[in-house]
Amino acid sequence: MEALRVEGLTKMFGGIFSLQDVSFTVEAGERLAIIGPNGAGKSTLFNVLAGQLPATRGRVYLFGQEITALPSHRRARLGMARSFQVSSLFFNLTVLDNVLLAIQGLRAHPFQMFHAIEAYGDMFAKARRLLSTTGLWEKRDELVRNMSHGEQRNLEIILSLASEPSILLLDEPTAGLTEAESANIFNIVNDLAIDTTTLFVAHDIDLVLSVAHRIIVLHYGITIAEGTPQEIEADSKVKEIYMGIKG
Amino acid sequence: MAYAVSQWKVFRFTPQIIVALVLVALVPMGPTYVQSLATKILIFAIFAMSLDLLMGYAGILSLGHAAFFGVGGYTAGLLAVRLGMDNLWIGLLCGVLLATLVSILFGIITLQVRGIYCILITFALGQLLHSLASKWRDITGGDYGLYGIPLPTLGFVHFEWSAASYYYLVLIAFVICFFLLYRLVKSPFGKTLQGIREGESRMAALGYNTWLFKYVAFVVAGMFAGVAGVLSAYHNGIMVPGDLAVANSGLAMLMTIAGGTGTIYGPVIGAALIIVIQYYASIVTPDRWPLILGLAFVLAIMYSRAGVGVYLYRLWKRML
Amino acid sequence: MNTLVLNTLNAISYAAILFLLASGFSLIFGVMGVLNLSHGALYMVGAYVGWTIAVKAGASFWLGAVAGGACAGLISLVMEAGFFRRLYKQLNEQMLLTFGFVYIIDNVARWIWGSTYKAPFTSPVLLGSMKVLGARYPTMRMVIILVGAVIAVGLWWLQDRTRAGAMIRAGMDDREIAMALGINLPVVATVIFFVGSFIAGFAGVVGAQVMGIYPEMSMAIMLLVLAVIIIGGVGSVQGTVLGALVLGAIDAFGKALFPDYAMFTVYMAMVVVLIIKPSGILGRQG
Repeated sequence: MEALRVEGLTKMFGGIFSLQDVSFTVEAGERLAIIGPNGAGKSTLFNVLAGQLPATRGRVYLFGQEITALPSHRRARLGMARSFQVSSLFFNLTVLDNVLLAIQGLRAHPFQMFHAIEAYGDMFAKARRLLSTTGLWEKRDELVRNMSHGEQRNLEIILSLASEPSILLLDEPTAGLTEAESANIFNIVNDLAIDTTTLFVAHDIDLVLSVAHRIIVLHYGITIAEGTPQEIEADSKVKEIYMGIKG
Repeated sequence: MAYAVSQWKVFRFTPQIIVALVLVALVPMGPTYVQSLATKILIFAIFAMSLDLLMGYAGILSLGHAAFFGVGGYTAGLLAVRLGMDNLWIGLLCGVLLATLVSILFGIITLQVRGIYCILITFALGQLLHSLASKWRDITGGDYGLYGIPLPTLGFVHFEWSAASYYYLVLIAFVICFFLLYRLVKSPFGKTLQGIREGESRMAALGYNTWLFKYVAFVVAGMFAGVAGVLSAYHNGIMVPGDLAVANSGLAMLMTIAGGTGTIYGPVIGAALIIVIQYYASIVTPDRWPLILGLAFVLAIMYSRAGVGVYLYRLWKRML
Repeated sequence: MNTLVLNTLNAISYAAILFLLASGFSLIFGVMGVLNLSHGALYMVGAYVGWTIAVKAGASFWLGAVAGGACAGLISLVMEAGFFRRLYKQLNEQMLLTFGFVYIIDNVARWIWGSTYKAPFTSPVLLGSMKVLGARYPTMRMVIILVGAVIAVGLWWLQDRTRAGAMIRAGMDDREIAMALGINLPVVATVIFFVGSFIAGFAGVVGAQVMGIYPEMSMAIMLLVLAVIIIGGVGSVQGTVLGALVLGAIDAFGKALFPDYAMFTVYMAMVVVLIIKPSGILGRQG
């Protein structure tokens, strides 16, 4: 079954192309990695897919339904979740509050005004389960801004998994993390979402080659290669681009 | 065992009990000006709390919040002065209704833009109403104000007001408003507003219709501001265009910031502080009051990261 | 025909004053991201200083204008160095701070210069009128138009250099990168703030030729600035020029056609733009 289909996606800022005629499909349960040098348009692609930026041209289909013009919150309600390259957490709230907000997201509407949040016992149980996978349950009453970068990145991932999404977009989930911490991120994803369709952007080639089912390579907003990890590893165009970038 | 627990309970709620005693028993026993001052404090407390919902929780800065205060007050005043309808319940109902309608309209205009533009637009809309009140002399009395607003009748019983009895009325209104707002911010809705304040795009990615939440907060804040306006109209007996001005919004903002944003009790303490300072300033240096206000504003922003109310709260927690 | 010429010239000269007013504000906002709500107060201080020099001391009008600008600039230096620098990146707090300064500046001005209205004043050289398109028009107002045009062109040229300003603003989001690029951020911020405030103070004296000075000016002026910005759009000299021209036209022709409701036409225009295109006619989205 086709989870995501992107047709001729183009994004321009002023007169400059950030994405040019990008097309691909993602099957349900598949892990697709988007790689490419800096400025290739990876984050832009994510922002357009997630609904934060409008596409200039092209269409996006989620499980067969066109979502090209849908605002972010509607896409979330259709099962899409994302994590941000720069941690987009609620820094002045506690860890627990962060997770509860993420869990509550899909069922929230403004007129639940008069019950205290503590009344929702099942949300608490779920928050506990989610936070325990990274050992953050003990720190649930701490303010997020007092946590280490690694802990914040872990929380970032957990927030995107809290809604049990059908499709997950991870934008540089391992940014700024050590090797051990990076591996941990994918352990969390494996624990909580092993069958979830996942798109992710990453710079660590080894990680990508080991985790992804399929890879797309972007360069200056254009898809220049697409295939399995083995195919991409052998691709001469890709080697040319990454020569000097891969350490 | 049971004795120890009940002892602990009384100890824990001591500040609330003291405040309650002062408000309910001590104030009415003092001279008239004390009740008048206390009434003014409670009215502005409601006004400032409503602004805190907007600023401290939803993260929307508004310099036009006095518009709703003024609309509420002018409506009640106009009903009483021009139409002879001085019934409290009608005044409150119509005042709050009109304030809500205006906030429904202004909310749509204001929330079209993000962040810092909001302040520009609220400023402009607030001044628009101010100018309207000033120019529409036939209806609003222009710059002389809408004067001669009588104290309201209760409808079902003939009642002679005194400073103390009107104070009790406002106290009851304040307690109700405080309770409602407190429950509101502790609810999932309140937490959602805080999430939107901290990271709107994240909230949208999590499935929240952030515009709708902000809009509801805006309208609810306008409603409560309208309540304060109605109570103020009856208390002062007059409404002036200045009640709608940016300066009045700024006053509420100062109270909120000085007392502590993002708490519901902070603005209450801020209101008490500012009104008391204003009272003494009006006796000692009436001409320099705006200067003192400005300095207080600057100091509050530079140094009270949390606000006087929050400091007091933390102090109390440490004493426990 | 005569009335048309006169009204048009009135519109343009008023627009010139509005432009001078709003351009400083727009400059500061465009480069620093700060909404300086005390801009109107700075305008007023400039006007008072200019009055003191030109009327009270009887010295040159243009000296008064420059002095007014310098004074306003000085106040902005105090604000920037003493307060804004400590609130790095907290744009909301900075803006609220300027709101507090309105009260302070306003009240101190009242303390120094009193609360009476000061009548419009100008340089003796500019008294009298000249022939423009067949009509007689005050020389003073033609000079105002000239001054406005010169500064508009100057700022427009600066804006092209201030594409660097836009980059600097991006750099302000990341101090380290900006510093690594050799940009001295504190200096840039101070300079821009000074220039914008100088223009405000200068405009105060120029505008006093038409409007005089009165103590409630700060807020009223601020509102006009906001009207220009809201209608024309923030962030570009072109937007400010357009907003000023639209407002000038509305004011001049509004006064001629509906004398009682002139102010309302301004508000109506503002509300219409707010509903249709909240970021202003030439404004950028968000």
